Amino acid sequence: MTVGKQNRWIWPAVLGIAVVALVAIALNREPVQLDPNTPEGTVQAYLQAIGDSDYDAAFELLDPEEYEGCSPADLATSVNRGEPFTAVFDTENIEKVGNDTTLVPVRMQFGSTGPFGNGWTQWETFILTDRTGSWLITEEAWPYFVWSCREGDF
Amino acid sequence: MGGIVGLLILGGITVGIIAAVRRVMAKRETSAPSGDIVAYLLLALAVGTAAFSLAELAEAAFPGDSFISDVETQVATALAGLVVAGPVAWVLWRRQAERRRASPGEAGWVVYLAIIEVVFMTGFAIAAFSVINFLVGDGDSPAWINAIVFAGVILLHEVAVRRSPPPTDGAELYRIIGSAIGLITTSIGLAGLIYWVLDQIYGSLAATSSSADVGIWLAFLIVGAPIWAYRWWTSWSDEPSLARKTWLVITSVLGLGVAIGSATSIAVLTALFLFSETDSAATHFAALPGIIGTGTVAAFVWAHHGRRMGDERTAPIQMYGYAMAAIGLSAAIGAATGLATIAFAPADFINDPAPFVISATAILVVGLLVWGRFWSQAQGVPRELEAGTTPRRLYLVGFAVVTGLVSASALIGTLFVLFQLLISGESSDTLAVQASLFVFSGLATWHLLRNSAGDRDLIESPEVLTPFDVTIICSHPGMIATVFPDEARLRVIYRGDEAGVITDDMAQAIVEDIDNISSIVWVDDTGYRVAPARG
Repeated sequence: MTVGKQNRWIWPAVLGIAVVALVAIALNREPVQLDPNTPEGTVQAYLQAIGDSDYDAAFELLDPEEYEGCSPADLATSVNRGEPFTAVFDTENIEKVGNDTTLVPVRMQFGSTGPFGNGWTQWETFILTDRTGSWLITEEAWPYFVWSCREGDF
Repeated sequence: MGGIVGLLILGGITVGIIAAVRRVMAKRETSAPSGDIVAYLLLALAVGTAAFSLAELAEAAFPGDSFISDVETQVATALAGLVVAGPVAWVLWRRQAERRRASPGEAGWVVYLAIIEVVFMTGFAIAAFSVINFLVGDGDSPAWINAIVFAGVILLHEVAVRRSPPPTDGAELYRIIGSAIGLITTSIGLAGLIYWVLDQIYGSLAATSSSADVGIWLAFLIVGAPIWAYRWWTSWSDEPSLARKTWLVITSVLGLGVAIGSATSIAVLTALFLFSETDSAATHFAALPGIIGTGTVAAFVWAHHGRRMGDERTAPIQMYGYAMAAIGLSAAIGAATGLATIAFAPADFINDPAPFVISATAILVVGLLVWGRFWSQAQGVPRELEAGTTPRRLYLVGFAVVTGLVSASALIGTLFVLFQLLISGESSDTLAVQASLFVFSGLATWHLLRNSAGDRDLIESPEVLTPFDVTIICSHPGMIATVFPDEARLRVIYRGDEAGVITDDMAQAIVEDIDNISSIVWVDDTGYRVAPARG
């Protein structure tokens, strides 16, 4: 094999090694797992369930009083399926209101990698209430679907 | 074990794609230049897909602070893109590199570099801005990975360009695109910084709240300035390409237009403060820092690019002058329409006409001054030299079409309102607007078409020659064939000695003596003689 022929394989080889390394890191990375009995952990479980299209699990984390008359199917129809998103807590602004309510602001980023940025950013504040030891998302929260199951109220 | 099997499958697919692409490309090896452009477009698509897939994969590996993720989907998507696009990109990249070595100056290479510059330099600027804004400003989502991957793609192409530079003209296209990206980003940053500094001063003097975040403007400047410097401030060839000329015209027109607009805004703000009821001075002039910042940067952009067009009345200078004349005339038409509307519309058409009248008057004056300056500049050139040039034709005919269409639309609107008034007795407040616009844009159209007709008379006046025969008997005709008009049919009979050689001066004199009439020319050591011949 000549020097020229050896050289032409260098870049594909480097790229191939980089790809294998990135795949290995991505698949072996331990995901952040928060305590589900905390407000942040509840928000994480809720958004992760929506990301995984597990709408039953996500719906269970919503306050039944606030979402009376709604079902997981209503939640499912409101989510733009296939639109990937990530979420980051605005930890500095997590706020406790009284003993049983916590406001959890979250920066959500929608869309995938492209030349003109990584989609768009949306700020959401989840209001959580303590229901006998477990936190539930109360008041209307992203992806805002109460209107679709209680049309008469609007 | 599962991982090894997966890698083997991916490797097999990759090798299969490489073999298939090579086979297809081998069949097209002798194809036309159009095939070369197609190959480069496919390469751009493959490089783009591979780079974005790599960025996606890197994000799956290093997701930052996100507390939710769908790693499996991200990895699967990225791998699918890489496995298909990667081999195609590699095979095409090598193929095109070899073809460039064999025949440099391919158009496809120029097109490809331009596409890569648009996509990846823009992507890099946006990603780098998010990173710098995160570091020095209030930014909250730094796109580190995009910045690194896109920088890698740009670097790879820089190396390739140094190995096989595109042809001189083509080399300027991608540099101009990069310059544009750099200049826009730098200008936003610089204007923002000037605004911020002036706003701090204004805030302390006028006791108003001022903007706090300087980081965003710094981020624009830190990202844009190096891109602009690298693409624009490195050496250029002496003779600018079409891309560079076009860019100089665009930046000069936009720069001067925005600078004049900013100056006009300041004048209007001042006049409004003096002659109409306004808030306190502090509130009224709160927009000054932003206007000054924008105007200063625009003036710099104009001064920097304008002087690079040179002093001679070349096509870019003409285009710049006529574009400014068109902008001035458009502004004047709009402002005159506004003023006429105020004068003739019902009293309650606008609640407080004073600010409107002041603004429209200022725009009318400035518009007429700009138009007058550039139009008189064009009129100062001998008309026979200027009349047939493309920029002037574009201005007179193209702009007349625009103003003519506006005038025609306004006439339709005017007639509609009039017929409505006649039929139903209902009048409309917009009659004054429509009628004024019809009159002023109609006047502009008339002016443009009248000048265009004058130009046409000049251009089309050259005498139409009928073909004529010239027989020259000489020892050597020299360059006489190049001095005759195209209608001359020359026949040279050689004397066979050295006594009758036609010099350049003699050639000129012979052509003038013949005066486009069929003739016989005899040349010997005493000079030449011309005798008319039957045509």
